[in-house]
Amino acid sequence: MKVLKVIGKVILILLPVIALWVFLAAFPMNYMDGEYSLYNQTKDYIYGETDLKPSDIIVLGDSKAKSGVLPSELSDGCYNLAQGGSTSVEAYYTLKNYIEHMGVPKTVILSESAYHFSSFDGFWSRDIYFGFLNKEEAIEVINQAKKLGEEAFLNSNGEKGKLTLLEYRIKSPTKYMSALVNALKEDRLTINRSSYEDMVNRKGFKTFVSWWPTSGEYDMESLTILQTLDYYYRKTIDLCIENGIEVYSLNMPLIATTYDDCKKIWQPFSEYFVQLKKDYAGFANVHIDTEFASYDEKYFDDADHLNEAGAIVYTDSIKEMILGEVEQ
Amino acid sequence: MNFLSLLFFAFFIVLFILYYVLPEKAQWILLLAGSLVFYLALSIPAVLALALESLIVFVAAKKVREKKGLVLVLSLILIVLIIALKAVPVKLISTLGMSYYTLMLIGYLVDVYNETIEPEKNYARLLLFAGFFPAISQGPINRYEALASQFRTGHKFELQTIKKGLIRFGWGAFKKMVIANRAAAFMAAVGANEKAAGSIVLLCLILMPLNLYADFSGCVDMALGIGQMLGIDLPENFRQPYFSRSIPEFWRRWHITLSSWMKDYIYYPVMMSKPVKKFIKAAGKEKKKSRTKLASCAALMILWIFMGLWHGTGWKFLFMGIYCGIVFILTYLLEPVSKKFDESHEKLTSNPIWKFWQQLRTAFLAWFPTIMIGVASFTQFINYLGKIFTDFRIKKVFDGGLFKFGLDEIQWILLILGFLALLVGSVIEYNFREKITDLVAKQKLPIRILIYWFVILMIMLSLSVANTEFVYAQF
Repeated sequence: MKVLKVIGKVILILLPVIALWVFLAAFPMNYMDGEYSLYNQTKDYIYGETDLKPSDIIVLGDSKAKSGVLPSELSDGCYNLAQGGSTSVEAYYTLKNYIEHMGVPKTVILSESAYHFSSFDGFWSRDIYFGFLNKEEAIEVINQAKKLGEEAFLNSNGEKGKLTLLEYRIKSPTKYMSALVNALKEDRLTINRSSYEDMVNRKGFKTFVSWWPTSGEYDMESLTILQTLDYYYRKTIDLCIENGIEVYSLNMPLIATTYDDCKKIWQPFSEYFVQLKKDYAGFANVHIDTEFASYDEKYFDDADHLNEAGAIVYTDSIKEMILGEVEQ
Repeated sequence: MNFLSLLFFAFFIVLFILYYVLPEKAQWILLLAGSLVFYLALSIPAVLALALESLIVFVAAKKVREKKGLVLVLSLILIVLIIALKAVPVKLISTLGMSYYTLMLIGYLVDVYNETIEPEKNYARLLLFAGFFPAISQGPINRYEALASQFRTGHKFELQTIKKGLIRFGWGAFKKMVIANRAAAFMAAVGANEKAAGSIVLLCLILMPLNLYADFSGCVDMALGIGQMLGIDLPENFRQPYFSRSIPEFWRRWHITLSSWMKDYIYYPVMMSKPVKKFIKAAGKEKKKSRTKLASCAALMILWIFMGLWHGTGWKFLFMGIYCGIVFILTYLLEPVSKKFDESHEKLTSNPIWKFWQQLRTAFLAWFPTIMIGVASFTQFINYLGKIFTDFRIKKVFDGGLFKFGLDEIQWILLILGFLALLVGSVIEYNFREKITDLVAKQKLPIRILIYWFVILMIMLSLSVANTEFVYAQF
């Protein structure tokens, strides 16, 4: 009886912890920041948890790809599954899960910027934080980075290893309280719902306005392509080959104002794609773009992301190539 | 290993269970093993340094009575050499309470030399005394007999004591997470922004003592709570210092174990040393009193300079020591005048407003040393003063500019709420002369539950602020 009484008291004392924890685990849309709904909508779609039909053409890549390819301009059967801050890691698992739950698409448009070949960017802050990657996938990435000696690049702000992963998996308040406190300042549920619906209506297309004045390439001192990200980029292409998918590795246009200043980055980056093209020369369904176009700044929302007018121009420029191949 | 990390919680839960499962005779061995694991989480050299320093003191303590002063001096030189060596190649070690266990070991050696305690026969027990994990990062500075005697006896599982320890730990976590971490975030943001207005800088300087007190006393509360959960009592280190009515009283209430260590192992030895005794004795009856005062002032200045430099090398700590020395000496010299005034104005001096004025004056005088610990350098302090006097811009505090420095509106509200809770707790402790945690434990269940919920919720909401290292862990 005494033990039961003590247990009862402990539960009573810990009630706020339990209540908060349950809230954190059960209602992420109520407190997570606006980007959560973008990741969540993509996840729901690729896992077949929406009423949306499968698409023939899917777009994979980072925020530049998300704001660069406008599905409604390209085809009725196109869906943009690119994610802000994502790399080839997310691209690979998005495609893998899409195939598993939605079937095999006919075409994949794949595009990662130079920055997302040299940084894991949102691995902890988005993939793991939002729960986009499941436990097995996350461990696979950690192990792969470890195997290639790049674990240090994967870790950011003290976020590392399986213990941290566990904290995220169990929705520990140590990781999510910050979002909850910030949610006290704004109605995040409404923001997230509206953002989620917008994603559905626009088939994953979204424009971005960042707060930094120059492009990612401009801010980079040199280009270092991480082996793990190269590994996952190639793995994504290999997955397309395995499933008979037409895959287009494309490069989103760069802003004209800093195009020349970014040569130190896009030139070696272009060489990377030349090599990739050689490596996949024997595969007719693999199309690798090695060039970098530049667009006038009027087509950009910020130094990195195309605006809707820019997305229309760019999507039109690839339409014939992609639809032509699809029709064949 | 930070007391507020998941790793520490995992470590402590395992240790706690084993501690009460093991036979009582073996508990101290587990504590030693646990303490060594605690250090190993930092680095192997840290453990080696602790073991080596303890070994030197262990051997020296056995010989110190035979060879008298020679062994004492030699072992002290060796310890200083180890400190110097540690500080250079392994910077990390110096951040983990090296000073605390060094002071404890020196105290032990001097006590053995003075024959107030017997030398320890078991090296492992001395190692545990020096490295007992709750006290290693920020003290309190333990005395050998008081702590070691508790390792010699077994400790039974007592729910009430454990509960009290847990509440004490929670209160410490509250101070650290709700107040100190928020204040630290604001201070860091102000320090990083050269364009901060003088009014913001002044607010930052005002928050420095609060940050230091909440951080340091919070950590000590946690250490005492952990000790209590293991049935081990550690000495109190704070007794509402900001209610002190004079500077000597302030130092009797702030970092109590360090102040008393300094008094016992620096001030008294200087005063009792042969040259000082000779100096006083040489004077005639008339001059004896003034020479004693002079010697006392010199000893106080030595003590405070040592205290300042113990915090770290650099001008700011030297200034801090000299400043405290001057204030302390002036208070000491003016004591008779002050006493006379109190006696002749009894009505006034017993007035609560007069008491409050004295507390305010003491807090103001004690402000400078806490600022010296809070600022990055003396130059930064001068820059801050420059901004306050030349670029005050008071409207920056009210036009939303304040929220651009690490804390937004919600975080400020939570900081103020935390401060109010601390203030109420301190007022109650001061008036009831009992720890707030013990008072809470005596309340009826519904009241207790409400207090616990408030503390728990505030702590949970504070998980949104980065947990900074404990300020005093660097000394």
